[in-house]
Amino acid sequence: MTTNAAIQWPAEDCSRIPFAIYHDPAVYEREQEAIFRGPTWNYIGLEAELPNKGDFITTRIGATPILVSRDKTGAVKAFINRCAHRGAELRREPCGNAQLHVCVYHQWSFELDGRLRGVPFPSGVNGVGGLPRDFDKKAIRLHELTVRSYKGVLFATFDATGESLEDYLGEAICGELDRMFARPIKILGYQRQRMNGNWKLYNDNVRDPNHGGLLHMFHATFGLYRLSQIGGARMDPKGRHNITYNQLDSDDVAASDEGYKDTQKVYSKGYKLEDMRMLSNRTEFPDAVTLVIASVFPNSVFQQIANSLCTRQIRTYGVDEMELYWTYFGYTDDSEEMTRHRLLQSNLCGPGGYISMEDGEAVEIVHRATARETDAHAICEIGGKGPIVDQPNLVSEVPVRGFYGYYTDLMGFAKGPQAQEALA
Amino acid sequence: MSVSMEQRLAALDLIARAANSLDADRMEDWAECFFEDGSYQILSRENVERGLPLPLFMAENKQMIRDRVLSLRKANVTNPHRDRHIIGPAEMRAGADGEVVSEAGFAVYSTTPEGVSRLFSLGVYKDRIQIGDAGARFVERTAIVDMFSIPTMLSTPV
Repeated sequence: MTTNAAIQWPAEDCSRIPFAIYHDPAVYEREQEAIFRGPTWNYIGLEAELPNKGDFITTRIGATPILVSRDKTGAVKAFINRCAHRGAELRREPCGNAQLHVCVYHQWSFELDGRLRGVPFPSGVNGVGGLPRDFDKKAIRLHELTVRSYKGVLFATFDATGESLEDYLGEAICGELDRMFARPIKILGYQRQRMNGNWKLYNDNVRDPNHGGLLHMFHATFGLYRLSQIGGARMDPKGRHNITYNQLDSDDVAASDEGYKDTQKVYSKGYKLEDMRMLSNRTEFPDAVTLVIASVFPNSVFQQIANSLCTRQIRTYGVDEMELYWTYFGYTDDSEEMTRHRLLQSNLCGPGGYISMEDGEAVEIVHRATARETDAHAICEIGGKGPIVDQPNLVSEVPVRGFYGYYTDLMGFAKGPQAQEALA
Repeated sequence: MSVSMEQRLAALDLIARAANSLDADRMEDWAECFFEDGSYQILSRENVERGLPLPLFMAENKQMIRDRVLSLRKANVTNPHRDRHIIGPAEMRAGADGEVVSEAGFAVYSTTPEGVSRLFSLGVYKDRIQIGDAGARFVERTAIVDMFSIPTMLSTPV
Protein backbone atom coordinates (compact mmCIF):
# COMPACT_ATOMS: atom_id res chain seq x y z
CA MET A 1 0.00 0.00 0.00
CA THR A 2 2.46 2.60 -1.18
CA THR A 3 0.06 5.53 -1.01
CA ASN A 4 -0.22 5.16 2.74
CA ALA A 5 3.43 4.54 3.53
CA ALA A 6 3.84 7.92 5.17
CA ILE A 7 1.00 7.27 7.59
CA GLN A 8 2.29 5.82 10.81
CA TRP A 9 0.50 4.06 13.63
CA PRO A 10 3.24 4.03 16.26
CA ALA A 11 1.09 2.38 18.94
CA GLU A 12 -0.24 -1.16 18.57
CA ASP A 13 -3.23 -0.23 20.76
CA CYS A 14 -4.18 2.78 18.55
CA SER A 15 -3.49 5.21 21.39
CA ARG A 16 -1.90 7.41 18.73
CA ILE A 17 -4.03 8.26 15.68
CA PRO A 18 -2.30 9.81 12.65
CA PHE A 19 -4.05 13.03 11.64
CA ALA A 20 -3.23 12.34 7.99
CA ILE A 21 -6.00 9.71 7.79
CA TYR A 22 -8.53 12.54 7.99
CA HIS A 23 -7.05 14.39 5.02
CA ASP A 24 -5.26 12.06 2.61
CA PRO A 25 -7.38 11.64 -0.56
CA ALA A 26 -5.72 8.26 -1.20
CA VAL A 27 -6.90 7.04 2.20
CA TYR A 28 -10.43 8.20 1.42
CA GLU A 29 -10.38 6.37 -1.92
CA ARG A 30 -9.18 3.20 -0.26
CA GLU A 31 -11.84 3.48 2.46
CA GLN A 32 -14.58 3.50 -0.15
CA GLU A 33 -13.38 0.10 -1.39
CA ALA A 34 -11.99 -1.56 1.73
CA ILE A 35 -14.61 -0.33 4.17
CA PHE A 36 -17.85 0.86 2.57
CA ARG A 37 -17.65 -1.74 -0.24
CA GLY A 38 -15.79 -4.19 1.96
CA PRO A 39 -16.99 -6.87 4.41
CA THR A 40 -18.99 -4.42 6.52
CA TRP A 41 -22.74 -4.06 7.03
CA ASN A 42 -23.95 -0.54 6.33
CA TYR A 43 -27.18 0.93 7.62
CA ILE A 44 -29.43 1.89 4.69
CA GLY A 45 -32.77 2.70 6.34
CA LEU A 46 -35.73 1.31 8.23
CA GLU A 47 -38.37 -1.07 6.88
CA ALA A 48 -40.99 1.37 8.17
CA GLU A 49 -39.81 3.84 5.52
CA LEU A 50 -40.92 1.52 2.73
CA PRO A 51 -43.91 -0.41 4.08
CA ASN A 52 -45.61 -1.15 0.74
CA LYS A 53 -44.66 -3.06 -2.39
CA GLY A 54 -43.14 -0.61 -4.85
CA ASP A 55 -41.98 1.80 -2.14
CA PHE A 56 -38.41 3.01 -2.52
CA ILE A 57 -35.93 5.32 -0.84
CA THR A 58 -32.57 6.62 -1.99
CA THR A 59 -29.61 6.71 0.33
CA ARG A 60 -25.86 6.35 0.31
CA ILE A 61 -23.19 3.92 1.46
CA GLY A 62 -20.10 6.04 1.88
CA ALA A 63 -20.02 7.96 -1.40
CA THR A 64 -21.99 5.39 -3.43
CA PRO A 65 -25.62 6.31 -4.20
CA ILE A 66 -27.98 3.50 -3.20
CA LEU A 67 -31.57 2.72 -4.19
CA VAL A 68 -33.56 0.67 -1.67
CA SER A 69 -36.70 -0.81 -3.18
CA ARG A 70 -39.45 -3.16 -1.98
CA ASP A 71 -40.28 -5.49 -4.83
CA LYS A 72 -43.54 -7.16 -5.85
CA THR A 73 -42.95 -10.10 -3.50
CA GLY A 74 -42.44 -7.72 -0.57
CA ALA A 75 -38.68 -8.32 -0.39
CA VAL A 76 -36.40 -5.33 0.21
CA LYS A 77 -33.64 -5.01 -2.37
CA ALA A 78 -30.74 -2.57 -2.53
CA PHE A 79 -28.92 -1.52 -5.68
CA ILE A 80 -26.34 0.98 -6.69
CA ASN A 81 -28.59 3.85 -7.78
CA ARG A 82 -27.19 3.86 -11.27
CA CYS A 83 -28.67 2.80 -14.57
CA ALA A 84 -27.00 -0.32 -15.99
CA HIS A 85 -26.89 1.35 -19.41
CA ARG A 86 -24.74 4.46 -19.29
CA GLY A 87 -24.59 5.06 -15.58
CA ALA A 88 -27.15 7.81 -14.97
CA GLU A 89 -28.62 8.21 -11.53
CA LEU A 90 -31.74 6.07 -11.74
CA ARG A 91 -33.91 7.51 -8.95
CA ARG A 92 -33.43 11.19 -8.24
CA GLU A 93 -36.04 11.61 -5.51
CA PRO A 94 -35.58 10.79 -1.80
CA CYS A 95 -38.56 8.42 -1.74
CA GLY A 96 -41.59 7.30 -3.68
CA ASN A 97 -43.64 4.39 -4.97
CA ALA A 98 -43.24 2.88 -8.43
CA GLN A 99 -44.02 -0.18 -10.52
CA LEU A 100 -40.75 0.13 -12.41
CA HIS A 101 -37.54 2.11 -12.13
CA VAL A 102 -37.16 4.00 -15.40
CA CYS A 103 -34.03 5.95 -16.24
CA VAL A 104 -34.82 9.43 -17.55
CA TYR A 105 -31.79 9.54 -19.84
CA HIS A 106 -32.67 6.77 -22.38
CA GLN A 107 -35.79 5.29 -20.79
CA TRP A 108 -34.31 1.93 -19.94
CA SER A 109 -36.69 0.35 -17.44
CA PHE A 110 -35.93 -2.03 -14.60
CA GLU A 111 -38.16 -4.30 -12.54
CA LEU A 112 -38.30 -3.63 -8.81
CA ASP A 113 -36.05 -6.65 -8.31
CA GLY A 114 -33.38 -5.11 -10.55
CA ARG A 115 -33.93 -7.04 -13.82
CA LEU A 116 -33.81 -5.10 -17.08
CA ARG A 117 -37.35 -4.97 -18.42
CA GLY A 118 -37.24 -2.87 -21.54
CA VAL A 119 -35.15 -0.78 -23.90
CA PRO A 120 -36.95 1.64 -26.28
CA PHE A 121 -36.72 0.83 -29.99
CA PRO A 122 -34.95 -2.51 -29.43
CA SER A 123 -35.14 -3.32 -33.16
CA GLY A 124 -34.39 0.22 -34.27
CA VAL A 125 -36.49 1.79 -37.02
CA ASN A 126 -37.27 -0.17 -40.20
CA GLY A 127 -34.74 -2.76 -39.20
CA VAL A 128 -31.93 -0.28 -38.85
CA GLY A 129 -30.35 0.67 -35.51
CA GLY A 130 -31.43 -0.68 -32.13
CA LEU A 131 -29.81 -3.45 -30.16
CA PRO A 132 -27.48 -6.01 -31.70
CA ARG A 133 -28.84 -9.52 -32.13
CA ASP A 134 -26.69 -10.99 -29.40
CA PHE A 135 -27.83 -8.41 -26.84
CA ASP A 136 -28.67 -10.48 -23.77
CA LYS A 137 -31.34 -8.64 -21.82
CA LYS A 138 -31.40 -11.30 -19.10
CA ALA A 139 -27.74 -10.74 -18.32
CA ILE A 140 -28.31 -7.09 -17.48
CA ARG A 141 -29.41 -6.13 -14.00
CA LEU A 142 -28.89 -3.32 -11.57
CA HIS A 143 -25.85 -3.87 -9.37
CA GLU A 144 -27.42 -5.52 -6.35
CA LEU A 145 -26.18 -5.54 -2.77
CA THR A 146 -27.03 -8.08 -0.11
CA VAL A 147 -29.70 -6.76 2.27
CA ARG A 148 -30.62 -8.08 5.69
CA SER A 149 -33.12 -6.73 8.17
CA TYR A 150 -32.64 -6.95 11.91
CA LYS A 151 -35.84 -5.98 13.77
CA GLY A 152 -36.82 -3.80 10.81
CA VAL A 153 -33.44 -2.09 10.63
CA LEU A 154 -32.00 -2.52 7.13
CA PHE A 155 -28.32 -3.15 6.52
CA ALA A 156 -26.60 -3.87 3.22
CA THR A 157 -23.20 -5.13 2.20
CA PHE A 158 -21.25 -5.22 -1.05
CA ASP A 159 -19.32 -8.25 0.17
CA ALA A 160 -21.49 -10.94 1.70
CA THR A 161 -18.68 -13.48 1.95
CA GLY A 162 -17.86 -12.29 5.47
CA GLU A 163 -19.79 -12.45 8.70
CA SER A 164 -23.58 -12.75 8.82
CA LEU A 165 -25.34 -9.58 9.94
CA GLU A 166 -26.06 -11.01 13.41
CA ASP A 167 -22.45 -12.08 13.88
CA TYR A 168 -21.25 -8.72 12.61
CA LEU A 169 -23.48 -6.73 14.97
CA GLY A 170 -22.72 -9.01 17.90
CA GLU A 171 -24.78 -9.67 21.01
CA ALA A 172 -24.48 -6.20 22.53
CA ILE A 173 -25.69 -4.28 19.48
CA CYS A 174 -28.40 -6.86 18.73
CA GLY A 175 -29.52 -6.41 22.33
CA GLU A 176 -29.84 -2.66 21.86
CA LEU A 177 -31.77 -3.07 18.61
CA ASP A 178 -34.03 -5.65 20.30
CA ARG A 179 -34.70 -3.05 22.98
CA MET A 180 -35.28 -0.01 20.72
CA PHE A 181 -37.24 -1.87 18.06
CA ALA A 182 -39.30 -4.08 20.36
CA ARG A 183 -42.52 -2.47 19.12
CA PRO A 184 -43.56 -1.45 15.57
CA ILE A 185 -42.27 2.03 14.79
CA LYS A 186 -43.55 5.03 12.88
CA ILE A 187 -41.30 7.59 11.22
CA LEU A 188 -41.55 11.13 12.65
CA GLY A 189 -39.19 12.82 10.22
CA TYR A 190 -35.67 13.61 9.15
CA GLN A 191 -32.89 16.03 9.94
CA ARG A 192 -29.67 16.57 8.06
CA GLN A 193 -26.41 18.18 9.03
CA ARG A 194 -23.49 18.98 6.70
CA MET A 195 -20.09 19.03 8.27
CA ASN A 196 -16.88 20.22 6.68
CA GLY A 197 -14.91 17.38 8.13
CA ASN A 198 -13.82 13.81 7.54
CA TRP A 199 -16.41 11.11 8.25
CA LYS A 200 -14.21 9.33 10.78
CA LEU A 201 -14.17 12.39 13.02
CA TYR A 202 -17.86 11.80 13.63
CA ASN A 203 -17.24 8.13 14.39
CA ASP A 204 -14.59 9.25 16.88
CA ASN A 205 -17.09 11.63 18.43
CA VAL A 206 -19.76 9.02 19.11
CA ARG A 207 -17.19 6.62 20.58
CA ASP A 208 -16.01 9.18 23.09
CA PRO A 209 -18.24 9.22 26.19
CA ASN A 210 -15.71 11.56 27.78
CA HIS A 211 -16.75 14.52 25.61
CA GLY A 212 -20.44 14.16 26.45
CA GLY A 213 -20.22 15.93 29.77
CA LEU A 214 -17.45 18.32 28.70
CA LEU A 215 -18.33 19.67 25.26
CA HIS A 216 -22.09 19.44 25.60
CA MET A 217 -22.57 21.94 28.40
CA PHE A 218 -26.34 21.74 28.28
CA HIS A 219 -26.04 18.24 29.72
CA ALA A 220 -23.88 19.39 32.55
CA THR A 221 -25.67 22.66 33.22
CA PHE A 222 -29.10 21.14 33.48
CA GLY A 223 -28.06 17.78 34.95
CA LEU A 224 -29.15 15.48 32.15
CA TYR A 225 -25.76 13.84 31.83
CA ARG A 226 -22.63 14.30 33.83
CA LEU A 227 -19.47 12.29 33.75
CA SER A 228 -20.06 11.29 37.38
CA GLN A 229 -23.34 9.57 36.51
CA ILE A 230 -23.74 5.82 36.30
CA GLY A 231 -22.77 4.82 32.80
CA GLY A 232 -20.13 3.30 30.63
CA ALA A 233 -19.25 1.85 27.27
CA ARG A 234 -19.73 -1.68 25.96
CA MET A 235 -18.17 -2.99 22.77
CA ASP A 236 -18.35 -6.03 20.55
CA PRO A 237 -15.42 -8.48 20.76
CA LYS A 238 -13.64 -6.67 17.90
CA GLY A 239 -14.12 -3.26 19.49
CA ARG A 240 -15.53 -1.81 16.27
CA HIS A 241 -19.00 -1.02 17.61
CA ASN A 242 -19.73 0.81 20.82
CA ILE A 243 -22.60 1.40 23.17
CA THR A 244 -22.38 4.38 25.49
CA TYR A 245 -25.11 4.40 28.13
CA ASN A 246 -25.97 6.26 31.28
CA GLN A 247 -28.69 6.92 33.81
CA LEU A 248 -30.31 10.21 34.67
CA ASP A 249 -30.24 11.49 38.22
CA SER A 250 -27.52 9.12 39.28
CA ASP A 251 -24.66 11.52 39.74
CA ASP A 252 -22.39 11.87 42.66
CA VAL A 253 -22.34 15.59 43.48
CA ALA A 254 -18.99 15.50 45.26
CA ALA A 255 -17.36 13.65 42.36
CA SER A 256 -18.84 16.15 39.90
CA ASP A 257 -17.54 19.13 41.86
CA GLU A 258 -14.09 17.57 42.07
CA GLY A 259 -13.93 16.41 38.45
CA TYR A 260 -15.12 19.66 36.89
CA LYS A 261 -12.92 21.79 39.16
CA ASP A 262 -10.42 22.99 36.54
CA THR A 263 -12.82 23.31 33.64
CA GLN A 264 -14.27 26.54 32.35
CA LYS A 265 -17.95 27.28 32.53
CA VAL A 266 -18.84 23.63 32.07
CA TYR A 267 -20.52 22.85 35.31
CA SER A 268 -22.61 25.76 36.49
CA LYS A 269 -25.03 24.89 39.22
CA GLY A 270 -28.29 26.69 39.52
CA TYR A 271 -29.42 27.20 35.93
CA LYS A 272 -32.97 26.12 35.41
CA LEU A 273 -35.17 26.03 32.37
CA GLU A 274 -38.46 27.91 32.62
CA ASP A 275 -40.20 25.03 30.89
CA MET A 276 -38.76 21.71 32.05
CA ARG A 277 -41.10 19.41 30.11
CA MET A 278 -38.47 18.72 27.48
CA LEU A 279 -36.25 17.07 30.09
CA SER A 280 -38.78 14.66 31.53
CA ASN A 281 -38.23 10.99 30.79
CA ARG A 282 -41.22 8.71 30.51
CA THR A 283 -40.02 5.24 31.32
CA GLU A 284 -40.78 3.00 28.36
CA PHE A 285 -38.06 0.36 28.57
CA PRO A 286 -37.70 -2.37 31.19
CA ASP A 287 -34.53 -0.78 32.59
CA ALA A 288 -33.34 2.52 34.04
CA VAL A 289 -31.15 3.54 31.12
CA THR A 290 -32.01 7.00 29.78
CA LEU A 291 -29.24 7.53 27.25
CA VAL A 292 -27.93 5.06 24.70
CA ILE A 293 -25.66 5.93 21.82
CA ALA A 294 -25.00 2.67 19.95
CA SER A 295 -22.50 3.13 17.14
CA VAL A 296 -22.17 0.48 14.46
CA PHE A 297 -19.10 0.41 12.23
CA PRO A 298 -18.83 2.14 9.81
CA ASN A 299 -21.86 4.36 9.18
CA SER A 300 -24.58 4.27 11.81
CA VAL A 301 -25.69 5.29 15.25
CA PHE A 302 -28.81 4.28 17.16
CA GLN A 303 -29.91 6.76 19.77
CA GLN A 304 -32.15 6.92 22.79
CA ILE A 305 -32.02 10.19 24.68
CA ALA A 306 -34.87 9.90 27.16
CA ASN A 307 -37.83 9.45 24.78
CA SER A 308 -36.12 10.83 21.71
CA LEU A 309 -35.34 7.90 19.44
CA CYS A 310 -33.49 8.04 16.15
CA THR A 311 -30.95 6.57 13.82
CA ARG A 312 -28.05 8.58 12.45
CA GLN A 313 -26.36 7.68 9.19
CA ILE A 314 -22.97 8.97 8.08
CA ARG A 315 -22.77 9.75 4.36
CA THR A 316 -19.46 10.77 2.84
CA TYR A 317 -19.04 13.56 0.29
CA GLY A 318 -15.29 13.53 -0.19
CA VAL A 319 -12.42 13.46 2.28
CA ASP A 320 -13.45 16.87 3.68
CA GLU A 321 -17.22 16.64 3.89
CA MET A 322 -19.96 14.46 5.33
CA GLU A 323 -23.67 14.56 5.89
CA LEU A 324 -25.28 13.21 9.01
CA TYR A 325 -28.78 11.96 8.23
CA TRP A 326 -31.08 11.64 11.24
CA THR A 327 -34.26 9.54 11.12
CA TYR A 328 -36.54 10.05 14.13
CA PHE A 329 -39.20 7.59 15.09
CA GLY A 330 -41.79 6.72 17.70
CA TYR A 331 -44.00 3.68 18.10
CA THR A 332 -47.20 3.03 16.18
CA ASP A 333 -49.11 2.72 19.46
CA ASP A 334 -47.91 6.11 20.79
CA SER A 335 -50.72 8.40 21.86
CA GLU A 336 -50.91 11.79 20.15
CA GLU A 337 -49.65 13.31 23.38
CA MET A 338 -46.65 10.93 23.47
CA THR A 339 -45.80 11.84 19.88
CA ARG A 340 -45.92 15.50 20.89
CA HIS A 341 -43.55 14.73 23.78
CA ARG A 342 -41.11 12.99 21.43
CA LEU A 343 -41.21 15.96 19.03
CA LEU A 344 -40.54 18.36 21.88
CA GLN A 345 -37.67 16.16 23.02
CA SER A 346 -36.24 16.14 19.51
CA ASN A 347 -34.99 19.60 20.54
CA LEU A 348 -32.30 17.78 22.48
CA CYS A 349 -30.54 16.34 19.46
CA GLY A 350 -30.03 16.88 15.75
CA PRO A 351 -28.10 19.72 14.11
CA GLY A 352 -29.71 22.27 16.44
CA GLY A 353 -30.12 19.99 19.44
CA TYR A 354 -29.29 21.27 22.89
CA ILE A 355 -26.96 18.35 23.56
CA SER A 356 -25.69 17.58 20.11
CA MET A 357 -25.30 20.82 18.16
CA GLU A 358 -21.66 21.14 19.24
CA ASP A 359 -20.61 17.93 17.50
CA GLY A 360 -20.67 19.64 14.10
CA GLU A 361 -18.29 22.25 15.42
CA ALA A 362 -16.09 19.60 17.11
CA VAL A 363 -15.68 17.72 13.83
CA GLU A 364 -14.85 20.90 11.94
CA ILE A 365 -12.33 22.37 14.39
CA VAL A 366 -10.33 19.12 14.43
CA HIS A 367 -10.51 18.89 10.66
CA ARG A 368 -9.39 22.50 10.19
CA ALA A 369 -6.54 22.44 12.64
CA THR A 370 -5.02 19.15 11.49
CA ALA A 371 -5.13 19.74 7.74
CA ARG A 372 -1.39 20.26 7.36
CA GLU A 373 -0.23 17.58 9.82
CA THR A 374 1.54 14.80 8.00
CA ASP A 375 3.34 13.16 10.91
CA ALA A 376 1.53 14.31 14.06
CA HIS A 377 -0.87 12.14 16.04
CA ALA A 378 -3.92 12.47 18.27
CA ILE A 379 -3.44 11.23 21.82
CA CYS A 380 -6.03 8.69 22.83
CA GLU A 381 -5.27 7.43 26.35
CA ILE A 382 -8.25 8.40 28.52
CA GLY A 383 -9.63 5.25 30.09
CA GLY A 384 -6.24 3.58 29.74
CA LYS A 385 -3.93 2.10 27.12
CA GLY A 386 -3.43 -1.51 26.06
CA PRO A 387 -6.29 -3.98 25.71
CA ILE A 388 -9.56 -2.60 24.38
CA VAL A 389 -12.17 -3.61 26.92
CA ASP A 390 -15.59 -2.47 28.16
CA GLN A 391 -15.51 0.68 30.24
CA PRO A 392 -17.37 0.87 33.57
CA ASN A 393 -17.65 4.66 33.57
CA LEU A 394 -17.90 7.61 31.20
CA VAL A 395 -14.41 9.08 31.58
CA SER A 396 -13.06 7.10 28.67
CA GLU A 397 -12.21 7.24 24.99
CA VAL A 398 -11.21 3.59 24.70
CA PRO A 399 -13.96 2.88 22.12
CA VAL A 400 -12.19 5.26 19.71
CA ARG A 401 -9.23 2.87 19.87
CA GLY A 402 -11.62 0.01 19.23
CA PHE A 403 -12.84 1.68 16.04
CA TYR A 404 -9.27 2.11 14.76
CA GLY A 405 -8.26 -1.41 15.71
CA TYR A 406 -10.78 -2.75 13.22
CA TYR A 407 -10.29 0.10 10.77
CA THR A 408 -6.55 -0.52 10.47
CA ASP A 409 -7.18 -4.24 9.92
CA LEU A 410 -9.56 -3.54 7.02
CA MET A 411 -7.28 -0.89 5.56
CA GLY A 412 -4.15 -3.00 5.87
CA PHE A 413 -2.28 -0.48 8.02
CA ALA A 414 0.53 -1.99 10.07
CA LYS A 415 0.66 -0.82 13.67
CA GLY A 416 3.21 -0.66 16.46
CA PRO A 417 6.90 0.27 16.75
CA GLN A 418 8.17 -2.67 14.70
CA ALA A 419 5.85 -1.87 11.82
CA GLN A 420 7.09 1.70 11.83
CA GLU A 421 10.73 0.56 11.77
CA ALA A 422 9.95 -1.67 8.80
CA LEU A 423 8.42 1.33 7.02
CA ALA A 424 11.54 3.39 7.70
CA MET B 1 -60.21 40.70 4.15
CA SER B 2 -57.31 42.92 3.40
CA VAL B 3 -54.82 44.27 5.90
CA SER B 4 -54.86 48.00 6.63
CA MET B 5 -51.81 50.12 5.88
CA GLU B 6 -51.27 50.67 9.63
CA GLN B 7 -51.41 46.95 10.34
CA ARG B 8 -49.08 46.23 7.49
CA LEU B 9 -46.53 48.76 8.67
CA ALA B 10 -46.68 47.44 12.24
CA ALA B 11 -46.24 43.85 11.03
CA LEU B 12 -43.33 44.80 8.77
CA ASP B 13 -41.73 46.61 11.66
CA LEU B 14 -41.98 43.46 13.79
CA ILE B 15 -40.47 41.28 11.06
CA ALA B 16 -37.58 43.74 10.71
CA ARG B 17 -37.12 43.99 14.49
CA ALA B 18 -36.89 40.20 14.83
CA ALA B 19 -34.27 39.97 12.07
CA ASN B 20 -32.23 42.94 13.25
CA SER B 21 -32.22 41.67 16.84
CA LEU B 22 -30.76 38.34 15.76
CA ASP B 23 -28.27 39.98 13.40
CA ALA B 24 -27.01 42.25 16.18
CA ASP B 25 -26.73 39.30 18.59
CA ARG B 26 -29.55 40.69 20.71
CA MET B 27 -31.35 37.37 21.09
CA GLU B 28 -33.11 38.59 24.25
CA ASP B 29 -34.76 41.34 22.18
CA TRP B 30 -35.71 38.75 19.58
CA ALA B 31 -37.49 36.75 22.31
CA GLU B 32 -39.48 39.89 23.14
CA CYS B 33 -40.97 39.80 19.64
CA PHE B 34 -43.27 36.97 20.85
CA PHE B 35 -46.38 36.91 23.01
CA GLU B 36 -46.13 34.90 26.24
CA ASP B 37 -47.97 32.01 24.60
CA GLY B 38 -46.41 32.66 21.21
CA SER B 39 -44.73 29.75 19.49
CA TYR B 40 -41.70 29.41 17.23
CA GLN B 41 -40.57 26.52 15.12
CA ILE B 42 -38.15 25.71 12.35
CA LEU B 43 -39.32 23.02 9.96
CA SER B 44 -37.48 21.25 7.19
CA ARG B 45 -39.27 21.51 3.85
CA GLU B 46 -38.38 17.86 3.32
CA ASN B 47 -40.56 16.87 6.29
CA VAL B 48 -43.34 19.33 5.52
CA GLU B 49 -43.72 17.96 2.00
CA ARG B 50 -43.80 14.39 3.27
CA GLY B 51 -46.36 15.23 5.93
CA LEU B 52 -43.92 14.40 8.73
CA PRO B 53 -44.16 16.42 11.95
CA LEU B 54 -40.50 16.51 13.05
CA PRO B 55 -39.14 20.04 13.59
CA LEU B 56 -35.54 21.21 13.51
CA PHE B 57 -36.40 23.21 16.60
CA MET B 58 -39.66 23.99 18.35
CA ALA B 59 -40.73 26.25 21.20
CA GLU B 60 -44.34 25.97 22.26
CA ASN B 61 -44.31 29.19 24.27
CA LYS B 62 -42.14 32.16 25.19
CA GLN B 63 -40.67 30.32 28.18
CA MET B 64 -39.13 27.82 25.78
CA ILE B 65 -37.97 30.67 23.54
CA ARG B 66 -36.21 32.29 26.52
CA ASP B 67 -34.78 28.88 27.49
CA ARG B 68 -33.23 28.61 24.04
CA VAL B 69 -31.60 32.01 24.43
CA LEU B 70 -30.38 31.17 27.95
CA SER B 71 -28.89 27.90 26.80
CA LEU B 72 -27.13 29.53 23.85
CA ARG B 73 -25.74 32.17 26.19
CA LYS B 74 -24.75 29.96 29.12
CA ALA B 75 -24.49 26.34 28.11
CA ASN B 76 -23.92 25.66 24.42
CA VAL B 77 -20.66 26.01 22.55
CA THR B 78 -21.42 27.53 19.18
CA ASN B 79 -19.36 28.19 16.08
CA PRO B 80 -18.26 31.83 16.26
CA HIS B 81 -20.44 33.64 13.74
CA ARG B 82 -22.72 36.57 13.07
CA ASP B 83 -25.86 36.38 10.99
CA ARG B 84 -27.44 38.69 8.43
CA HIS B 85 -31.04 38.27 7.38
CA ILE B 86 -32.30 39.32 3.97
CA ILE B 87 -36.09 39.22 3.85
CA GLY B 88 -38.18 39.40 0.71
CA PRO B 89 -41.47 41.28 0.30
CA ALA B 90 -44.15 40.01 2.66
CA GLU B 91 -47.53 38.92 1.39
CA MET B 92 -50.13 39.70 4.04
CA ARG B 93 -53.77 38.95 4.64
CA ALA B 94 -56.15 39.29 7.54
CA GLY B 95 -56.56 36.20 9.70
CA ALA B 96 -58.97 35.33 12.51
CA ASP B 97 -59.32 37.60 15.57
CA GLY B 98 -57.67 40.57 13.91
CA GLU B 99 -54.43 38.71 13.25
CA VAL B 100 -52.19 39.47 10.33
CA VAL B 101 -51.07 36.38 8.44
CA SER B 102 -47.80 36.98 6.67
CA GLU B 103 -45.53 35.03 4.37
CA ALA B 104 -42.07 36.19 3.30
CA GLY B 105 -39.02 34.51 1.85
CA PHE B 106 -35.71 34.91 3.68
CA ALA B 107 -32.02 34.21 3.41
CA VAL B 108 -29.62 34.12 6.35
CA TYR B 109 -25.94 34.58 5.65
CA SER B 110 -23.45 33.63 8.31
CA THR B 111 -20.10 35.35 8.69
CA THR B 112 -17.01 33.94 10.41
CA PRO B 113 -14.66 35.99 12.62
CA GLU B 114 -12.38 36.16 9.56
CA GLY B 115 -15.07 37.99 7.65
CA VAL B 116 -16.00 35.16 5.33
CA SER B 117 -19.71 34.84 4.66
CA ARG B 118 -21.72 31.90 3.39
CA LEU B 119 -25.36 31.18 2.90
CA PHE B 120 -26.54 29.55 6.10
CA SER B 121 -30.28 29.25 5.63
CA LEU B 122 -32.91 29.87 3.02
CA GLY B 123 -36.63 29.52 3.42
CA VAL B 124 -39.95 31.14 4.13
CA TYR B 125 -41.42 32.70 7.27
CA LYS B 126 -45.06 31.94 7.88
CA ASP B 127 -46.16 34.30 10.63
CA ARG B 128 -49.28 35.01 12.61
CA ILE B 129 -48.99 38.49 14.06
CA GLN B 130 -51.26 40.26 16.54
CA ILE B 131 -51.11 44.03 16.81
CA GLY B 132 -51.97 45.53 20.18
CA ASP B 133 -51.40 48.78 22.05
CA ALA B 134 -47.80 47.83 22.76
CA GLY B 135 -47.09 47.14 19.09
CA ALA B 136 -46.98 43.96 17.05
CA ARG B 137 -45.92 40.55 18.39
CA PHE B 138 -45.76 37.04 16.97
CA VAL B 139 -48.54 34.67 17.93
CA GLU B 140 -46.77 32.07 15.86
CA ARG B 141 -43.68 32.08 13.67
CA THR B 142 -42.80 29.09 11.51
CA ALA B 143 -39.65 29.11 9.43
CA ILE B 144 -39.77 26.43 6.74
CA VAL B 145 -36.25 25.97 5.45
CA ASP B 146 -35.34 24.90 1.92
CA MET B 147 -31.77 24.46 3.07
CA PHE B 148 -32.60 21.57 5.35
CA SER B 149 -29.13 20.09 5.46
CA ILE B 150 -27.84 22.39 8.18
CA PRO B 151 -24.25 23.60 7.69
CA THR B 152 -22.18 22.82 10.82
CA MET B 153 -24.84 23.52 13.45
CA LEU B 154 -28.10 25.33 14.09
CA SER B 155 -27.53 27.55 17.11
CA THR B 156 -28.89 31.08 16.65
CA PRO B 157 -32.57 31.01 15.69
CA VAL B 158 -33.23 31.84 12.04
